[in-house]
Amino acid sequence: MHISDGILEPQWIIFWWIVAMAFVAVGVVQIRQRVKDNPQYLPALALMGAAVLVISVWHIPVPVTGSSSHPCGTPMAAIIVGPFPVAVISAIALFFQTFVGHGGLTTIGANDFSMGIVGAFTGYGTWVALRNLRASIFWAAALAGFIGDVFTYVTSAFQLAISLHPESLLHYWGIFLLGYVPTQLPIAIMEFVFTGLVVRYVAEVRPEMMRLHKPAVASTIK
Amino acid sequence: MTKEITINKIKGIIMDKFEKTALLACAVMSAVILIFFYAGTALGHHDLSGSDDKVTETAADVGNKTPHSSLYELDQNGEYVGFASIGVAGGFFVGYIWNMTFGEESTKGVGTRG
Repeated sequence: MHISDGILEPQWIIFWWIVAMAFVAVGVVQIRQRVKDNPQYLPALALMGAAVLVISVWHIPVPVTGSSSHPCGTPMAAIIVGPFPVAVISAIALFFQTFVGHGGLTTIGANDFSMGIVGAFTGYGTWVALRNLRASIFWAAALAGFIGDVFTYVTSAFQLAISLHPESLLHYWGIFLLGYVPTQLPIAIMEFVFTGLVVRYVAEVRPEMMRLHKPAVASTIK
Repeated sequence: MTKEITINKIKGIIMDKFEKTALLACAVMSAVILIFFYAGTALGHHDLSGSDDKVTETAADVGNKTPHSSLYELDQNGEYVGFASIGVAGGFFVGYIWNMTFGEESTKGVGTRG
């Protein structure tokens, strides 16, 4: 989903920047408040930031499609540190990834929106919904990882289609989705597995980390 | 007490649980990537470039655009080095922060880590 520079129309570059920075602003406010309330929040946030940075450059080859892609890591991060702060750490990760030719400088807003916002919020929403339905930690987190990953790329395809051919939005959205989905589905399955395993590990070894940002949800942890 | 600390120190120097788990994860991920890469080349796909790049090419054709970098252009080897560098830097960071989040408070500073 890393859209390069030179692809999006200028008005859409500005639009996605404005939307992303709104979420980043809320994320910064939340981070400051949570660090004040609980000093343990900062190392957890740093850990998730580093994890998102590494996971989103981790290209895994998919033999049957002849290409490679990467997971996102943002659903996992959203479950641990909350969705708004993930917009912040994703923006930082995307900035550093620009220096290795992954993504673009002008498209940080768009890429942050797809990966750091849509990926995080859809993943987090799936986690909350499933935990409220008494799903186990593994399954709730795993499905959150899968859904967040898929929606990240659905959003990227939408961003390309609406910028390049808004008059035939659905048609080109489908075309770009066809470019992403065959390679991304196996990667989303991997994200399903590692998100479930990591969140379950955190809940078992450091259950207090699951309460860093959402005591009400974490209280349902068995 | 002294014997316990010494045993813990020795265990920490040899390899603690986190290091064993991290090395195992590294070995498994490397094996998965190598197997998938071999399978891909065996199926005739000698490129295996990123789907992001392929969709970018399609988008550039469809929209009559020219993708470029606002900073500098890296050749393929440069990208390999860059991506590996990010992975290494991120990995060191994760390892350093890990102790602060998962390390056992009671054994910090005597060689055993969580």
